[in-house]
Amino acid sequence: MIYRRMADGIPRETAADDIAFDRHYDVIVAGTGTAGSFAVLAAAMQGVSVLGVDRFSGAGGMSTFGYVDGYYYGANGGMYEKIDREGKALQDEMFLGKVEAKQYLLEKKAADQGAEFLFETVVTGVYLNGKTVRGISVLTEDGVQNLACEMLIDATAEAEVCAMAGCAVDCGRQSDGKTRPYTSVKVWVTEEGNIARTNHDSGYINQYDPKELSNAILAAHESQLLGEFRNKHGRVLFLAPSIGIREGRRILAEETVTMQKILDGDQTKTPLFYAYSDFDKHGKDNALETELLQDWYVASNLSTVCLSVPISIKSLIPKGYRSLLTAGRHIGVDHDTASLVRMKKDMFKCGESAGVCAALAVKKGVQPIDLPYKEVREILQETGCLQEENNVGIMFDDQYRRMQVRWLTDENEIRRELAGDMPGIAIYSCKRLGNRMAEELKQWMSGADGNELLRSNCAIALGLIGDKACLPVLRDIVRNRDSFYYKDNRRTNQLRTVIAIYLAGKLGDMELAPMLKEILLDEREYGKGLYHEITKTSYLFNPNRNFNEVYFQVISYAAVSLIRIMEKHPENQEFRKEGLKILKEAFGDDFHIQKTTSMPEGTFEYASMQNIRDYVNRYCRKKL
Amino acid sequence: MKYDLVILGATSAALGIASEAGDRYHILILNSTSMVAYEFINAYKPGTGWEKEPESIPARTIREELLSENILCTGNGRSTHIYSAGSVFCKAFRALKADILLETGLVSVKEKDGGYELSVYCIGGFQTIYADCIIDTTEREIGIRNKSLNCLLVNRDQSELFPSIFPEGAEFYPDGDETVNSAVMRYPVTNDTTLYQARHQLIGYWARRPEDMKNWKIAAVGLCFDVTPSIGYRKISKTHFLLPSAWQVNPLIAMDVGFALGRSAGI
Repeated sequence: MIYRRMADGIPRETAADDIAFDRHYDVIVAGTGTAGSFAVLAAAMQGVSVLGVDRFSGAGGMSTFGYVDGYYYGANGGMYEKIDREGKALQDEMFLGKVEAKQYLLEKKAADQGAEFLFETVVTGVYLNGKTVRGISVLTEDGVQNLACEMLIDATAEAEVCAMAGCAVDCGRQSDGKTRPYTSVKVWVTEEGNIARTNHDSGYINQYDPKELSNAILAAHESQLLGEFRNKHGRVLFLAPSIGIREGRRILAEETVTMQKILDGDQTKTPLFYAYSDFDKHGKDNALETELLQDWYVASNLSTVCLSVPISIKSLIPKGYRSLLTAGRHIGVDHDTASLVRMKKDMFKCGESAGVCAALAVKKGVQPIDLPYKEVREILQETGCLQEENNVGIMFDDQYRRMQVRWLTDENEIRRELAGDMPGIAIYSCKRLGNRMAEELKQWMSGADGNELLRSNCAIALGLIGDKACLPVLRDIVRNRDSFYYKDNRRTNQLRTVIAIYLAGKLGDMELAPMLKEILLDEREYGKGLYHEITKTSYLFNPNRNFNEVYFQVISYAAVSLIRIMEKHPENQEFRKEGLKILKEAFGDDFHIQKTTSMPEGTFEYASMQNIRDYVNRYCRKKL
Repeated sequence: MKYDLVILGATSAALGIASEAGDRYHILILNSTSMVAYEFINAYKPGTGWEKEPESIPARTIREELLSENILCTGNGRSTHIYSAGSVFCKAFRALKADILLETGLVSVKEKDGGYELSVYCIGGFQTIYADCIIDTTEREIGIRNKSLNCLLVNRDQSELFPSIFPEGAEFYPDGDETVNSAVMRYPVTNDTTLYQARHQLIGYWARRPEDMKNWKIAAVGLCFDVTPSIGYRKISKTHFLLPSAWQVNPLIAMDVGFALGRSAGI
């Protein structure tokens, strides 16, 4: 047996042949947060012995200690619905808000099923035989304990135990390693005596750096004193002790769900549950995301389209490991998908699924991956955790538009949609059809006869296909600093100028460079109309009047597109030299940050432009 | 990591110590949770003695902020809702010239080479920290006399006064504030009770409350205990002090006491 633990941020391994475990459980759940609390309950209901361990003094995680008391999408069904119903009744009787009521019920129901909890306790190490988990060490108020288990569920949301065990993990986006912005929640009581909560995105952190995490917690809570986030009425009750960290480590699973697979319809046939949401990425620095996400979110303007994503047991198992499951936002998904597969309802179901599978595996003496799917499915269908009705595919699903997305193949239909101000589905349909659409698009674009929407939308579709015939139109859009916003979504609609800069950059258009130079270096740029005429952007995503969203998007895309163009033409040394000079000058000081926001360093608004500046400066340092 | 001074607990007393000594010493504050000045704020401990002006400048500064935020009443000088002051204290901690590690548990402390070797556990795993001096501002070493789990009760009906006769088993402190009709309930528990157990006991107790209190709902439950430490100060050695912040009557006085210790020649 070996013992693995983290020390100074690095996994360490020692022999542990003489280990004497203090107690033994069939299933241990590390982390009893959103997913873990339901893993405990579900496993206990299958009749096995269960222990839930958590650093907080109770169950629920972000649902309770993070005070995220509502839902943003997620698929219906599962054990949580009963807790919600009973919690509402208890709330009416005793509580002002729903959080404490649901926490109480969840803990009580699990305890009634025989589950045990060790709260205010952290997992400090893991025992393994090869790649088979045998137990964990925990640090409690009374000291260190060693606990054996047949099956371990890492529900820490940060893949903490997986990382200790040596499982392969990934974290953050490829461009700069950043994860989604985190949030801080303030809970207050209104003058009418109702509980209310407000939150705002608070910036970016590496939560695995203890000092950075500590500073981020203090900074986020301090920022509640800024004028933008103050309550005019009512009284603050507390600051949620758990800040809302939306993304962290993700395991490399037996089957990793990627955005590409989701959009291609390449999905598992043996789901445990369906996740459901849009790519709810929160950050505004779209230019630093993957090209696939930008094709979808920016160029096709499909940011609020929701997708149902089936999750199988294979996505819960770290590749090559045994007796170890995961439950939470750290399961096997890529960075893009991590913004979708993280909603509360889905994480409840993820925990429930993991709990059921872990318990069944123990009872049958097999590994979870070898469980008969039919048996698992029947149990999960009984609570509604798994239901075919949740397999809704791709949807516009909000108060403005509730409809299934159907990819277009008919040319007439595509042309009709491209002539409108909600062309997202048609544009992405063209991407799917690829070069087959190129000739039609070119014809429609050149023969648009004053139909400016058709002309520019055809150019965007061509740009997505990769056809450079679109470039003159895209340059016109940028030259005019076109202030048109598309209207496909209820929020985060894209500005045509930004789409044009993105696509021209993606196509390596050197002729765009002089315009990018003007955008980045000419101090008169900020005085241009579009930065001030659009007083209410279509972003409306944590809107803050102290943030010039239009300016931010244009500047960030100008910088990143210039880099993309340079990368497309490595042979042109003169162009590269000039490009680096422009970037260095543009981001050598905080000019663009100051134009974007007057919020202080450390705030989300400041950090958004700082991310771009850091990315550009890193690139320049690397290339010089 | 090597520090002149390690302060255990991001308490109000710790804030006072580090405010005074931060310029002269390399200081680390270790705290097991993410909450600061928690012994009053997150314990929903109403505190007393608010009429007394604090002596130290950092405590006076905090007092001014509490007054401007309407957390501290100007009329009678007593706190009406110190639990609202989280942001004010976070700002003060962030301004310190000291390193702070939140969500960091203390595993062990050993004397070594005339100083101390601390093993701690945080998100990065185990870490070893060396210190010349330790001040423990928690009650971990000193022990407690008693403890309670407190909660905030709110009545949506502004006109309904808190009953003059309270049910047995708990103490009640109406906030006396016109904004929200609220009161702090102090629910005593035995010293070996965990927070999880205490929370369930408190909820069970409130489920059995008398009819005339049915409109009083639990708005928030303490995230840590309101404790009374066994004693207020002990000097273990020239380099090891116990100064449990929760002993003091309110966070401003705790800051004063910390400030004074920070100034003492012993450190």
